[in-house]
Amino acid sequence: MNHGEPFRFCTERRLVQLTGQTARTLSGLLVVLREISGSSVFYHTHHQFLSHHFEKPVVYNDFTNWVSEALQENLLAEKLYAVDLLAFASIRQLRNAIISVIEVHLEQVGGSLRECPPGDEFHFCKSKSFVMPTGIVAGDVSDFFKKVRGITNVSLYFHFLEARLRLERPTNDFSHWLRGRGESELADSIDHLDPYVVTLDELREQIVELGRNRGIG
Amino acid sequence: MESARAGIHLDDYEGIVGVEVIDELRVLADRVRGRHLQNINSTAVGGGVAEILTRMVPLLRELGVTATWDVMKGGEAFFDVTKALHNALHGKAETITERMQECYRETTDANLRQMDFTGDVILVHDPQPAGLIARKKDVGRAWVWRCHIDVSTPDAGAWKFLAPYVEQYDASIFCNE
Repeated sequence: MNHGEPFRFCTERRLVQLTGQTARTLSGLLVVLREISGSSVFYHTHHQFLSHHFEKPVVYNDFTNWVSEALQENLLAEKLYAVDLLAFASIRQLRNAIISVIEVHLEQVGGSLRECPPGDEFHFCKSKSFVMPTGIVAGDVSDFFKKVRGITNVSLYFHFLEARLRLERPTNDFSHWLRGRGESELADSIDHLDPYVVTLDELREQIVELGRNRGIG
Repeated sequence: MESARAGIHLDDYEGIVGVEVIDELRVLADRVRGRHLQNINSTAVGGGVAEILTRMVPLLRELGVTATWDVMKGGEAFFDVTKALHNALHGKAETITERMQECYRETTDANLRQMDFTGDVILVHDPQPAGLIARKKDVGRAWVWRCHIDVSTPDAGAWKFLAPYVEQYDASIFCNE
């Protein structure tokens, strides 16, 4: 994104596809996790943020849910729950972190023979994103904070959660653009927002509030 | 099949989903403006699919998508068969006998003789009209099977009967939540 350019808000629609890969055990989960596409890892760790944006599920991570509910491996589920999604700048790093947690756990407990009940297999999905411009364009910083109020949660999700990991950029689109406009303090403040503990509506309000506190928008 | 609900408009939903969602739908629709989405199901009233299409078709038209809705014809025997099939796909132990399968095929064939398939995308809803895929080899077009029921634990015999039809579609859509 050229920093001299206006901010063009995009949106996306996702096509979720079954990969045909499944797992019935922790070992089986590891085998697939090591090879499955990054879009699958991203889908299973992030889709609930968009699907349940009116509420905050206790656990957003599909791997955590499955380990807990299908395998009854509650200790491992807690360890997976503790994986901080904000700590990663790429899907590759996130995948490796999840794999590492499972591998260490298996070493510590001497392996696991638990198999999920029939019908409770983990089905790996992946999502293909179709990104398109919304037509909403912010010409300057003030305009940005006005316009950000009117974007959909999908657009917010794309610019704040998805773009960061997919583009392997350690910041969100908003902060990246604001820094280019010389608003480093605002950019940092938005960067420090944790999108994983609030709903998308709450995240939007937090962003708008940051601008409001600076008398912008 | 023309929708009887002429009074439904996108703006009616603004207060529920927010004006930004409606505006974004218009942006998305612009990309498929003029394309023909032909919906096919088995009943004009009653059931969730009819309820969906009663609203979805006029809303799509308002967005500039040429959406149509065709209903396949079938007698009581056919709908008894598809009800059993529906239950079996949900996991209930049901036997789809050869006679029942023949009834399904005959009804499908009768509809194939009468229906026109003109959509750019032909969206077939649920198992009842799934057999209409037989026309794909003649008319081409993109065929999508939309499954509105839970087929995660189907009766094996029922799925064995339906799968050859479903596998011919270009894509199938299921709900997974």
